This record gives sequence, structure tokens and C-alpha cells, in this order.
Amino acid sequence: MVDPTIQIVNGRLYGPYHNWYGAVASRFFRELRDNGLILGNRCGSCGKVFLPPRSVCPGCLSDIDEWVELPSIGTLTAYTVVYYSYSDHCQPKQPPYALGIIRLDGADTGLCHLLEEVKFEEIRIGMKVEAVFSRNRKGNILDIAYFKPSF
Amino acid sequence: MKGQEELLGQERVLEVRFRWAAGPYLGRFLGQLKEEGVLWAVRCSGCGRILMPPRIVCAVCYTETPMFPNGWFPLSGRGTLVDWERIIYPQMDPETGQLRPEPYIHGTFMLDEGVLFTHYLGPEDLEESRLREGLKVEAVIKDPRERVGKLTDIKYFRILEG
Repeated sequence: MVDPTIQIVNGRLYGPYHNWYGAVASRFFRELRDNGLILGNRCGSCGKVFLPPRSVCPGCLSDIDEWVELPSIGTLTAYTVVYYSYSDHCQPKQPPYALGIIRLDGADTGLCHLLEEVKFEEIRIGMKVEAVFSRNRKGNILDIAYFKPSF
Repeated sequence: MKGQEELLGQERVLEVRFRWAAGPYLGRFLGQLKEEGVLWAVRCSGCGRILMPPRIVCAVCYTETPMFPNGWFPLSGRGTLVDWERIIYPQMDPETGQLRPEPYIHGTFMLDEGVLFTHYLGPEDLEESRLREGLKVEAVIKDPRERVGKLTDIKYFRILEG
């Protein structure tokens, strides 16, 4: 008789859920969707500019209520290339793809997003990149389709 | 007007697919369940207690247990009801993202060979007033074609009349 030992057990976790953005992030996504604008906000106490915007400054714990329009151009501060496919639902696209952290000009924090229109081996930390907006915007972070090198 | 601003949100899905290596003991146990529809156990050569599912090392006396078939034996799949809980709160099945149909009863059984096991009671045994400690139960195993080598190859336990 063939040894019936089971070597590998396949498992899956699957959890649909609804995520409310809240007042501050809703405004960020409304402006992004309706006007193609990237809004950050500035802490009136310590002056830091946050992108994505936040309701409370994590540094000095002040409430933030000053909005600032940011340009779509910034600097790549970190990146990685994803080759591993682990989910049809939790990855922005089929691997391989590049993810970067982009600090838009005038912001003090980085935004994580896709890098496209660039070969993986030509990605450099410190390169200037610019946002490419989606044509059909729905009010989520993929209303920015990706960032591409800016020359 | 601040109170009238459109609030946005998003439907999301958290999905993680994974594979795990069952190892030679649990893998054999699941393989026997799939092929034969029978639960197998191993007796610890150190302290004599029954390990089901079989484990490589006894958790009480730390003795290594023998590999299949040495010291392994098939269980009858019969036992008695020791304890149960009736679950009325709809809970999500993490494998499907769907709510499990409720109510259902989760039981603890003392199998005739002298080992505790927990599993569901069957849909015909939802009437809680019928349940009492010591009722004879029997494992209901899926058809061979439906078995995949998971503990859910045991459909449920059913109460034997009388």
C-alpha cells in the first residue's frame, strides 16, 4: 500500500470587511477623487506636514486643522520589488511590481505607492518621481495610479 | 457644513493563503483519516497515555513516541458525551469569510479507548434538552470522495439512541 501520509495541508484565511476612512482621510480621498488634488495637513504647533493627512500630530499630540495642497512631485526615499504572489485581494496588482515610499515636495512624511514606467534596476533612492492619476477615480489610494520618474 | 461632508470608506478583503507541513505524525494521522476514514492514536511508551492526534513527544512525560505503525492503533470512533456548548452567536468561518450557520453544538467526547476529543454534534442533535453527560456518540465520517485529509473529514458526532 502506498504511504498515505499527508505532507502539506492547504489553508486559507478570508475576511471581507468595510473600512471607514474617517473625517480627515475622507476629505483627502474626496479631493483626490473629485479634483485630482493631493492634500496634506500641517500641524499648527510643530509645523510638520503630513501625507496622508492625520487628525492628530503624532509628535506633539496637537489637533491638526490646517490643510495644504501638495504638488504631485516628490522624492523616492525607499523602495522594494515584490515578486511573491500571496493573495488575489491584498496586493495592488500581480507581481512583480515595485513599491516605493515617496516624500512629496513640501511634505515631512512618506506615502507608500506603486512605481511604474521605470525598470526595476533603474530605480534609485533619491530620484524625483511624480504621481500619475487614474482616469476613473473612485475615492481610494489607487486614484493615484502610480508614481513614475520625473525628469 | 462639516456635518454634511461625504464620508468615504472601502469594501476590503483580507485574504491569506498558506500551506503548512503536517510532519510525519500528524501527516500520517490525516492520511489514515483520508484513506480509511479511521482515527488513529499512538500510545506513549513512557506513561501509557493515548495521544490523539498522535504527537512526536508525549506532552506529559516527554517520551518520544514510536513512528507508525509501531504503537499506533485505530480507534472505534465511538465514545460518550462529556460536555458541550451550544453556539448561538454567528461567527465567521475564517476559511470562507461566510457566517457559520447557527445554532450548532460543540461537544467534548471521551472516546472508548480513553482519550478526549472535541468536535461538533450533528444537526439532528441540536435539541439541547436531549443532551446529557454519558450519552453514547459515534463519529460520522465523510464519504471517501469528499475526504481531503483534514479534521473536517469527520462531519460530526451523532448520538446513538438508547
